[in-house]
Amino acid sequence: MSVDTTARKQSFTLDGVTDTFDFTFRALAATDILAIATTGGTDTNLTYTTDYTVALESDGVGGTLTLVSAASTGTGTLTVYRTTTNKQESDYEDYNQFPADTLEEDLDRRTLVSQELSETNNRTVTLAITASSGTSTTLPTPSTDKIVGWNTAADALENKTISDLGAVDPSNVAFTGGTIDGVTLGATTAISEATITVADGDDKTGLTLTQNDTTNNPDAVSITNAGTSHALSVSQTGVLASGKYGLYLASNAVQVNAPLAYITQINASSDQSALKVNNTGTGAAIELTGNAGIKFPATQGASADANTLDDYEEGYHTATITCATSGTVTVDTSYDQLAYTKIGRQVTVTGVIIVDSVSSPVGDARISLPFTAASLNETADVYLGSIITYNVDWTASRIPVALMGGGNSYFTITMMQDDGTYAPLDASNISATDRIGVNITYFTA
Amino acid sequence: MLEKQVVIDKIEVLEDGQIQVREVTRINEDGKELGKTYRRWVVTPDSDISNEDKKVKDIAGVVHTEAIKAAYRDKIRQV
Repeated sequence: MSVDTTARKQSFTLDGVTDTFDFTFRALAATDILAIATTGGTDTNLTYTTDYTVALESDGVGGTLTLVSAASTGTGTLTVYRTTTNKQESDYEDYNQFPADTLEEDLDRRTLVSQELSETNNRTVTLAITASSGTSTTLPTPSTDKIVGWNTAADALENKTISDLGAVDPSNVAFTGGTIDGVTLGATTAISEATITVADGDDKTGLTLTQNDTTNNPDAVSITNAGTSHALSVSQTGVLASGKYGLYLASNAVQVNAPLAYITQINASSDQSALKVNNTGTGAAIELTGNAGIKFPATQGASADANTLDDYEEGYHTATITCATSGTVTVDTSYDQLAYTKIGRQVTVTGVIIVDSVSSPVGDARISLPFTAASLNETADVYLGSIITYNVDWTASRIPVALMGGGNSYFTITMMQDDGTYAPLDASNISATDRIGVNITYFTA
Repeated sequence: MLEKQVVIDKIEVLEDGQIQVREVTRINEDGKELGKTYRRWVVTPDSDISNEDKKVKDIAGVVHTEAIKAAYRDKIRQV
């Protein structure tokens, strides 16, 4: 019988039901046929007669492998292959009739073994034919947590550690997908176009950066964007749990030199907002909690925009009273403070002052205020406030109001009357110990 | 150590010569500001500046020219 095929193995699908598998390669004995079941990625060597039996065709070309139990073998792949018994048991005696069949079977056996060695050799690691003839492929003695690599002379294999390989140039490393897990990068390495994906159920933080260099204190994260799109884009697609936020900054350190978050537009020519909050929902655009407040700069960053709140300030004003014509009205220095609050351009002043002494006062009594009033269109800059007096001798049947004109930094106690004109109170009506209280709101220049 | 600091921290000169002055009183502890209070007033061109801070006096001496004083007297708004 000749050997007409080089095949020594065949693969079949295990479905848990089919129990017979016809193979077509040559074999000399049923016991030379071996089988491996691959189920769930695991190879299991099947045992002849225990797990399967083999019936060869009468001409020795092909046969049938029968599983003892298809169900217990499972589903996956069945690999049927041949390992010929590598013996030569024929005894050729002199002068006997030429034993053609015996010789041919022996030659077939040699051919089959040769085929099997060749097939096995195709699955082994080999040196290129151009390799030096002195190169050894002997593996070193196995050692825990070592990798095998070429020695310095590049003529033998040896055990190595990762550090033996030296620094890895990240430009030579390309990540084209898959998972990066537990990768530690040195100080000078960089990742280009990295995408990190955490699969559902992995329970892993997508990216953790820990900066422990308190000697040089470099930034923990630095993003430079020369492009025109977002430098950092955070898209929260999941419904946040209570107490969780799309962007969260927290520190348990006592911050003494700088606030926890700082946004600065360092290009003075920019006319865009440093921070813009857009809310299309029904909640507040900005919500403050805890020991919270909004602090404006000590020096107002004045804005001419009609929709911009640009200032907040609280303080006191030491009031004085001047006489428009002559004389003096001196305010008691223990009772000369008026309180003010300035919100944007609007100032509210309130308080009571007490006169200490007077000296021949003549003309309008002008009581000072902390800011000069703005001059506005037409008579829009006439500012009014309420007045209360104690002992001041103002004309009966008239009603005093605080009146301030744009451009002025004082108000007058102005008397209005029914169906008549109004006129400022003359300072001559003010005496020592008189009290004047005011509450007036006006706009600053 | 607690320290009280009183300074003129802001002087604004308006177009008509009025000078808005802000004085801040700071309470510091070991150089760290614990709190502050503002006091404001306006020095008009016709004001007596004899009791003003030197910085205010210096500015008023330059700004409050006779022309400015006259213009201020004329513009005082009677309402």
